[in-house]
Amino acid sequence: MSTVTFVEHDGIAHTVEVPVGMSLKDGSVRHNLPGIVAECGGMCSCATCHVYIDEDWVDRLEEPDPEESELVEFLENRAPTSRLSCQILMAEELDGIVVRVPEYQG
Amino acid sequence: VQAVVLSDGERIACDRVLVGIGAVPEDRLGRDAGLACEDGVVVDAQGATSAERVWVAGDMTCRCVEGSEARRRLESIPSATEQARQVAAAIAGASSPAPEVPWFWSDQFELKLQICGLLGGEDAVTARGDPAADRFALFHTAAGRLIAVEAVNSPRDFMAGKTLLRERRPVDLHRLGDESVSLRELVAA
Repeated sequence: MSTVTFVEHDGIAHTVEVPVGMSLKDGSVRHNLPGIVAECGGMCSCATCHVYIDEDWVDRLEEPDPEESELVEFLENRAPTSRLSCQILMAEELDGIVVRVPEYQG
Repeated sequence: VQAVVLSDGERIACDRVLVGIGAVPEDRLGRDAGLACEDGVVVDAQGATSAERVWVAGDMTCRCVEGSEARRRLESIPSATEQARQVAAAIAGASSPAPEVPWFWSDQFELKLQICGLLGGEDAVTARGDPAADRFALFHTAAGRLIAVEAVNSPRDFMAGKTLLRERRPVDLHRLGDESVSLRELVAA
């Protein structure tokens, strides 16, 4: 099993197990963690699963698809490390990844 | 298929028929309970029904979407989740979340359809993108105000449209139709 740490906007951290192959979005939703809404269910359509990848991990991810980049581009609270968590699949080399959840989605 | 014959006998030649049958809300439970129903259970923006301490959310509710005086049903997941948040806040006595721009999506094979706002009353349609390349969007406006965006394989247009709709700003149609003007500029204007 591999773990992901989701940090809420006020600093509360939740470390949960997310199996390899599952999206970080599903990892959060299945543990009923706050902050990731994922209105579209994980189809890269709504940008309500927005997270900030921790600086130490951002370079270990594959580049986002243009579709994801376009959605992120218009988020008010975007940052250089913004990603959509439905598009990031857990992998062995991501064991221990830390992501921050924004104060609001959409 | 060669033609469709209407009930008045009119014959319309066609090659294909797309049937959209719609849906009828099953609101009997609401009616039996004495709730006001009219094409679904009538609710306000917080999901409150005509009865005290009874809230309803989901496809079978009928409500006024912000900015419109006509009630309608919004059969969509975003609407149901928005209503869930509104109802939860109302029951808990918390302040109501800000109303959301209605939106819809569907992935049809290689086509990503995203729609925000509600059609009806538009007096102009401005296109951006390339329909031949299956990547474009239609911006529907009424008296210079954006009312809906239909985007095909163009999440950028959808997101920009949703921002413009949420902020209810007038849109410069010339700039909108001019693809040398970026959406980012339009949204920031």
